[in-house]
Amino acid sequence: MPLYNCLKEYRAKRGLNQQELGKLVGASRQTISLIERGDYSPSVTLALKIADICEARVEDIFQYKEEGK
Amino acid sequence: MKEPNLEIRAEKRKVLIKFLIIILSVGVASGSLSVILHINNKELESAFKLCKDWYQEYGWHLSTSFSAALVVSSIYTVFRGNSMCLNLEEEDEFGYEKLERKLNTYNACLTACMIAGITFFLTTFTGSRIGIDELGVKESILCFVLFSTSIFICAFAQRKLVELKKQINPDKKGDALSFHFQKEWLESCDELEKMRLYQAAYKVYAVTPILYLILIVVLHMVSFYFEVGILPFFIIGILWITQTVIQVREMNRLTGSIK
Repeated sequence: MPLYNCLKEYRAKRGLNQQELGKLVGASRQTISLIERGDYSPSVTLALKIADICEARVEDIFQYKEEGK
Repeated sequence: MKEPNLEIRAEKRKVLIKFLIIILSVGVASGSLSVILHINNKELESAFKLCKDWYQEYGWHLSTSFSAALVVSSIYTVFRGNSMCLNLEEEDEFGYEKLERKLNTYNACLTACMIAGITFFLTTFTGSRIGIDELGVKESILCFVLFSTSIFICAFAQRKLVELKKQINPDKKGDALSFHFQKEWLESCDELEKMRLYQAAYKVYAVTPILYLILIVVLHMVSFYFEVGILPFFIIGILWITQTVIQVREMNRLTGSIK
């Protein structure tokens, strides 16, 4: 699923590494890494938790773009 | 409105034709194999007898060698895994994934070796040939001691590999030697890890019936020429039914209670 994100920038703004962010949202470091690379689309619950920690809206962090658009 | 129905019908026809072709091909292949077995019956029977006699004679050598190899490979995988963990850089994302894949592979190899070791040991001392009387007491004790030692060392090596995985994933819980390990490990997995586990489990569920079917067909063909008994058929049947029943029960239990 083509879900683009700028999670890495938001994470850097908060001064968190992947491990720390993962602990705060209940995900592993590998999951955060895969999300940032665009290789995994998080569930709604996880996306909301991430947005909450990053103090941003979900739409600001994650964008859905269909192929070709 | 009719067009989509025609398309669906055409697709169903294609699938049916493909299915019939596969069934016919398997039937022809099995028939051909039966003919080959029948033609070469005597040679195959003597070859089978030779293999059986050789295994009865030297099976315990295989068992002890395998046990020794299992001990060595267990120790090697632990040292190798440990060294890879120590050399891992904190910011190396791909390094973490590579290490986790390696640890999974080592774990799987040790499990496969342990199963093979158990198989070799039990077939060395089957009820149809009383191993101790034929082998001699010293050889039997050596075989047993090596086997037990290899199983213990392998179990502790797998525990150590799990501990290494917990080092790179501190949120993981569970002791590999505990009876509740699978449950605790699953509970400590996040959504992505659970999804991977479920997908891997589904793959096993999808592949094993094909394996059972092939085994049953091959055993049936072989039974015309060699004595295999009825027990293998019952064992495969029980395994197949148990797997299916557990899967259906779990699906029914989870329906309407999504966690």
